[in-house]
Formats: sequence, structure tokens, C-alpha cells
Amino acid sequence: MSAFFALLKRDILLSIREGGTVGIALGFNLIVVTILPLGIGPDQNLLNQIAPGALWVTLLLSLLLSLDRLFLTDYEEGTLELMTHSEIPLELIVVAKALAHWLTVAVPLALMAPVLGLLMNLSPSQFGILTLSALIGTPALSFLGAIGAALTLGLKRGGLLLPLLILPFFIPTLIFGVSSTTEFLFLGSNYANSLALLAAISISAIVLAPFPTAWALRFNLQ
Amino acid sequence: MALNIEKISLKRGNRLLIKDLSFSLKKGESLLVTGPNGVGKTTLIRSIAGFLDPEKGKISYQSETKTTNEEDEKTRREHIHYIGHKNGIRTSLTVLENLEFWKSFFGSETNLKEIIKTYFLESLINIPAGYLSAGQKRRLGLARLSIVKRSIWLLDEPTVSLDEMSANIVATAASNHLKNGGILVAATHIPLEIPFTQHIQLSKNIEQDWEDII
Repeated sequence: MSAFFALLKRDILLSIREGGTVGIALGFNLIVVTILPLGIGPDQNLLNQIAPGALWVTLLLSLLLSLDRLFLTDYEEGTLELMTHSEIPLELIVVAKALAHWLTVAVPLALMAPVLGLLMNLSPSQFGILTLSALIGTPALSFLGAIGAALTLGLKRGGLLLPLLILPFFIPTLIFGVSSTTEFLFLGSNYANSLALLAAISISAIVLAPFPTAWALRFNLQ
Repeated sequence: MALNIEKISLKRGNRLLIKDLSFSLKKGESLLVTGPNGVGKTTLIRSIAGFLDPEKGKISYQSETKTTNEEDEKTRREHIHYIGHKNGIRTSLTVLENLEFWKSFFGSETNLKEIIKTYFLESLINIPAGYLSAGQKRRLGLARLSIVKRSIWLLDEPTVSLDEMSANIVATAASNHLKNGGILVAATHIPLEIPFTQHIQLSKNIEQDWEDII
């Protein structure tokens, strides 16, 4: 298992040092949520109502922006093929890389939610659920996104094809992410059910997604 | 311990490159593969490395410890050092960080100081690998061979962009590997100072009838 932790540590270090991926994701998220009220107008009630959906959609899109780099540099530099010659299977290497992506991109995006909530006229007591649902839901996005990143690896403009392939698979996370937030904010109903379903989607993705991802990587390494 | 290649045929993009090739390498034996560009040297090495399944035939490896063929097949990749066209180094990490990553990734206990000396990387350790010259990058990539001990070395044009002194480092490392009972397959145009026990000259055996296509 030393290979797993070595890779996790390296990818986190690289993400901090290279910085671009998480910077672009955070910047994109901030700019879209900032211009949204400008387009919709100063109706504070309306902003408040669309906040959960708007924040979740921008979260998905920001995360997508960072996904195409997931395997690309390692593939181009020849590191990925060497990683197949390790004691741990390629599936676990995928887990390490997707986990590092979640920690370095999705977690900062989730922690950014209060700032964005402020822009959407939510009160501070409502920020918590935004971060919580994002933290529970985003592992599914990193792991499902890995499938798309692996499939589009050999393509020159893979970054453009990736959203078309992967966004449909983000829909369940979107639905339960938005419903948990809406239930907490407006309906006052039991939002725990939605959060539990969100967690179930994430856990399934963590367990199942590495297999097709590794298959696609092996195919691209031929 | 042995690496057996039994009548393999290899295809690349619908083009049959190698037909019914067989050879067998035992402890301490080495094979030199030569031939003109595009004849299938890289394809052969990549198929032994496990990236490419042969169209026909079988590649098998028997380790010393394991007994069943199935187990050996599953673990073949753990016994392979592959040096391909790409160096497998991360340009934004320093030379030392690159070496440290491979050391911990392979779970090796080796002393990096000796490797740094052997591959003449002393003055470069704190420099991001992106700033190295092509030859220095190649040396850093080759240093991986000494980080962890593995029994099959697959070298595809290992001395590309290396000067004479650096090429000698590779030759010395490879000779030591063979003395210690390793197996080596190398494809190259440039003569290597390695005592090869076998030599395969690949030639274009299947000429496509291009005039028919036009």
C-alpha cells in the first residue's frame, strides 16, 4: 500500500505547487455566481429561492473544468504507464488519484460555499447545509468524472467532449444535492433522507467507478 | 526464472508487424532487438511490458518463488522495469522529489545518495526537472532502474540523447543486472556496451501492397 499513499501525497503536493487546476475551478465558480444576480436582477426573494439550484449547477461545472487534467499530465509524461508496473492494481491507482482530486479541488469548492451563499442572499445560519451537502455529494463527481477523464485521454480536444459524456451521470447528485439544500432552507422538512441518498451515490461511485476507469486507461495505454 | 515468448504475432493499427516470433530468456540472459524504423521494436517491448496483448501466441514469465502460471501472469508487471520513449518524470517536481516519489511508490529501501552519485545528478537535485536538458532528463528517468531491484529490464532506445559517459552508466548498470541474474531486452540503433547473449534482427516481413490501395 506504500504506492497508494506515495501517489496520494505526490498528487496533493503537485496540486498545491502547480495550483492552476484548483485556482481555475474556484475562480470560475466565484465569477459565475457573481454575475448570476446581475443577469437575474435585484429581486432578493427570487435569488434566495434559486440559490440551491444555482450553486449546485455552478459547482458541477467548476468541477468539470478541473477533471480533464486528472490523468493527462501523467499520461503525457509517461508516468501513468509506469504506474501499471506496481504491486497495487490500476484500480487502486485510480482511487488514489480521484481521492487526491476530491481533496484538492472539491473540498476547497465546498468550503467556498458560504462566500457564494452570501452573494445569493442567504443568511449565515444557512451556509452550513451548503458546505455539508457539497462535501457529501462531491466524491461521486470526482470518481465518476475519472471515468470521463480516462475515456477522453487519447483525444486532442478531450476537454470539450468530457462534459458531454459525464454531465448526465452527475444528475442524481445534482437532484439530491439540491433537494437536501431546499428541504433545509425552505421546506423545513427532513433533509437527512436526501443527504443519505447523496452519500449512497458517492459511496457507490467510489466503489464502482474505478473499474471502468482502469479499463479505459489500459485501453489508452495500448 | 525465465521469460518465454511463444510464437507471438503483433498488430498495430491493423498492420501485422511481427509474425510467429519466439524466444526464451533465462537468468542472466539478454536480448538485443534491432531493425529499421517502424518494424515493431517498440511494439514488441510494449507487449512484453503488458501494455499490448499479442494477436496470437503467448508471453509468459516464471518467477523463482511462485509455482503456478496464473500467479506468475498476474504478477509479471511487478517484476518489470520499463524504459520507454517517455521518461516518466514530473517536470514541476525537483530531481530529488522525483526520485523520492519513485522510491516510496515502489516501496524501496534503497539509499538515494548512491543512486544520485551513480547517475551524476548531484548538482541537479534541487532543480525542477522541467529545467533539465534532454540528456539529464533521460538520466533521471534511467535512475529508476536502480531504485528498486526488478528481474526483467525492458529498455527501448535507452541511450537516446545521452552522451558517451552517460551511455556507459547505463551499460554498467545493465551488465551488473545481468551478473546478478536478471533478464534484459533492449531495442536500439546505437551500439551498447552490454554483453548480449541473443540478437534478433527484425525485418519488414509483411509488405503491404500499397499499389493496390492507390
